[in-house]
Amino acid sequence: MRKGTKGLLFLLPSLIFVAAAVGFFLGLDPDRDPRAIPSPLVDHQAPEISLPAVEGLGLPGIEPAMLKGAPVTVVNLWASWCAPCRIEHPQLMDLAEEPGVRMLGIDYRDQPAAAVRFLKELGNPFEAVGFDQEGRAGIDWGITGVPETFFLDSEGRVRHRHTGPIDADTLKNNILPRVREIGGLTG
Amino acid sequence: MRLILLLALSLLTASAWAIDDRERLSDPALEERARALFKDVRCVVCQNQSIDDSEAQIAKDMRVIIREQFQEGKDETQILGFLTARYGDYVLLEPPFRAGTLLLWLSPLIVLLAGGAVAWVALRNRPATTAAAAPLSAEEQARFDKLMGSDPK
Repeated sequence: MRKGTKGLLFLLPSLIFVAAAVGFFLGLDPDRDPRAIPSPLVDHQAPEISLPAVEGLGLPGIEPAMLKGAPVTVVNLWASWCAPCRIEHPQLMDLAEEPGVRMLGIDYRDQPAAAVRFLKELGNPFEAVGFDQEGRAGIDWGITGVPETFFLDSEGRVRHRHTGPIDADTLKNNILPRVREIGGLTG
Repeated sequence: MRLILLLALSLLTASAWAIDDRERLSDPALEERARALFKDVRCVVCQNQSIDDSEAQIAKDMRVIIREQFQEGKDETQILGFLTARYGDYVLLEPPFRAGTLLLWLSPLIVLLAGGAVAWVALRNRPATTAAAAPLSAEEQARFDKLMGSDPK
């Protein structure tokens, strides 16, 4: 065997080690969620579905036209039986205060009475709430569980998706900057 | 009497095959196609389980939707297209063969070729054959004979 090839062969284990080390180091990124499933909806038009209102809530249901128009439309899938939704709720209330944001809710596989009680107790951030009794809207939005939140631009295109509850830290450092960017409202 | 009992018992097991009788389609051929498709669709909240095996609510919801779409006359490709538009390729238990998954599909072949190349190089570089052993010296021969017990006492 020629000298050159042999030298390269000796280097091979070190090269493999470096490649593995880089891979492991990237895997250690604390922002990486190994369970996150990339949503094919991002950068695509939001699913155009109509949903009935939640009985007794006194808010309209969801119409496809509501997904467009506002600088930023936030679609939050939640349920009264979902404990993380309870943790997330104060952040939704804050988000509703943000200028240019329209808040829409989808009540996933819930009881209307329980949903009404939930919003009465914790406050209502939503302009409209659609009732998804059979989980069909959930599948149309490609969710794996509640809560999940989608951020749409004025054309009704999905620009960002958040899986799981939005905590205060995520709202401040991740969500609000994205919302301002989508709405074209910097600062 | 025994035959009747056996028949009655066989009726009991029938419920074990069905996922949920309320979900099943009345057309057996269509139901069979739906069941076959369930095996290819990943339950999105489970660890590597198909929606055919899963009792998760979202797996049930997907089964209902898939059966409905079969009844509306859609075929397997259209239904899988509906699901991947919402969940991406993640929802398929067998990843599709395309540019992004080329490495995934070809890696066994690559590993085999690399191993073969290493084996070929190693074999080629082996010294041809060990040279014929040199004859024993007289001293060695004496020792050999002694060890073999053939030396005269």
